[in-house]
Amino acid sequence: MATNFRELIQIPIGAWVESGVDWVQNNLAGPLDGFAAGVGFLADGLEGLLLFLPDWILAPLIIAFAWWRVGWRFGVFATIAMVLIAAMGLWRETMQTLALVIGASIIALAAGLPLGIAMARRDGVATVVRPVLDFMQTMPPFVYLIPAAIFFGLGKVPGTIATVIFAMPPAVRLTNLGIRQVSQENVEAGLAFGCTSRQLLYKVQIPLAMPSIMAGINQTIMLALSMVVIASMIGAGGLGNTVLTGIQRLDVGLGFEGGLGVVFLAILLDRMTQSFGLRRRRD
Amino acid sequence: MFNRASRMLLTGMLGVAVAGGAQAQDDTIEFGWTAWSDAEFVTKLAARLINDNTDYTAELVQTDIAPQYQGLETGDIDAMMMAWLPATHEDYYEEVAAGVENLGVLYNGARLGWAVPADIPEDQLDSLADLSNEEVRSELDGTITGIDPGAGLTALSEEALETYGLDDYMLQTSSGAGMTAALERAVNRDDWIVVTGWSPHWKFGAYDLRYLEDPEGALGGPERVHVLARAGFDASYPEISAMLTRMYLPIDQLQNYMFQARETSYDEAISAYIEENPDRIDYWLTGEL
Repeated sequence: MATNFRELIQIPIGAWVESGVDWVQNNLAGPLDGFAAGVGFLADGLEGLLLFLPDWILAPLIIAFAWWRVGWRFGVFATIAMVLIAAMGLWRETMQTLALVIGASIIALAAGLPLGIAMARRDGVATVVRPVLDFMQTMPPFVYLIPAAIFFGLGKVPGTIATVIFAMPPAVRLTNLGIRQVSQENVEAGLAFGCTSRQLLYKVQIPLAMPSIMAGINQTIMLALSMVVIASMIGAGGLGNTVLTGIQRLDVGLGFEGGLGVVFLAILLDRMTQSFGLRRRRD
Repeated sequence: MFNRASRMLLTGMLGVAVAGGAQAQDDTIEFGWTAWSDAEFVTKLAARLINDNTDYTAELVQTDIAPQYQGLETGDIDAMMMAWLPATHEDYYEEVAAGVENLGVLYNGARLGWAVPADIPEDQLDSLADLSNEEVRSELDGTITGIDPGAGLTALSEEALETYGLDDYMLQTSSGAGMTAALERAVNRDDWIVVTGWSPHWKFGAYDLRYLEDPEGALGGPERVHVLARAGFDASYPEISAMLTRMYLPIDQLQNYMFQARETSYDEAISAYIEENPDRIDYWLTGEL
């Protein structure tokens, strides 16, 4: 028991990661701060906008949008959701969370969609990116919260960045998959009509891959929402704070109210983003 | 083929686990603990003493603090060693007080407070009252770095902001880990930072910190850390209950070993503690001086 092979092979992976984190924070403070400022500008801007609009303007806008995109029944649901969120006194927290989700999704899609396209067009890129995506998706998010806080401090910025890392992979994967699944006949037809590679991408592959790409966007938004509670452990705020407070105080009611707010947001965002994918498919 | 084999293996393992669980029930003592440095040290220390010196087996169940209080009340866990009384865990304790046994004080002189890196000049920032100076506020960016939004310390810190009229400060909540990450970042960058803190905590060993004076006493007085057990624990395990009642550590000693545990491992620090304090350990185990 005393000596076995486990004690002979000691690879200090943890220590390497720690010194890597130290190196980054000692040498890359400037670029990190610049990046943080950019993310902060987006996150603060979105939150400012959503909180600047009073609830009696914003709620009808959301309800009307739900009605228009999905149908009158969903409009009724949206109305009930908005009234309950306001009645629970969670309007402010819900809008903060919505801003975090939208901000993180915008960044995730801006980086993820081009990456997905690059993966589909070059097998080499796919080989390199796929394990990175696996890593991003399966590493428990608690683990990279702390480096995020060490690099970017506490608050909305590291919260947004951690959310981006967690939420980006489906958009990349499903974009890649969608483009690869465009049938060879369609690609050949495009080439036969003299498409350049760029025209092939924009006029044949992306339009045909659209349902898959929209599904990826939808999944990214959903994952961003599921990161909300975890991200509030590094100060992202919003409904996550309400849930954490409920858990820590054994206050089942408060935790449930916060959780219900997250569920309402999830259903609203899910149906609305899906509606774009479905409409396209029907055309 | 592989599928069937692995399914059989899984069934077998579950069977063993269930059988083992049923068998071990009576002489197994389950301790709830949270991964706070002091909780980890004292809980693992108690578990080691029980496993090495008695016929009982100690098992550790890691959860957040609030579920531990609930687990004690329902009897799902037998004991926890991390009740901060009278103020910090007042809300939790009041809810379950009637249904638990208090096995006395584990260490004294625990405290809450706002801490700053020691290289921030004392003539500029020495007390919570100094925070209202405009220069101090701008150095700190108007932020007090806090821990979990639902923690007792967070509620006290919010009251402290009111007591000292610090209206233009924001208490940035996050988590215990988030707070120490922010502290590490600030120390590395020579930034100013005020964190909500408590002793004992390894950060006082890792960084050079000092508490700010709190002339109004807004963050409460010294706290005692108690061992709690479920109702009926003393009757079921008189020997263990007596040992836990006798356990007491001076806080400075505890803090030293906590830092040692962070540098090496909790197991090694606990071994060192047992080796270096034989009289104390002997008294805990036997009750003889």
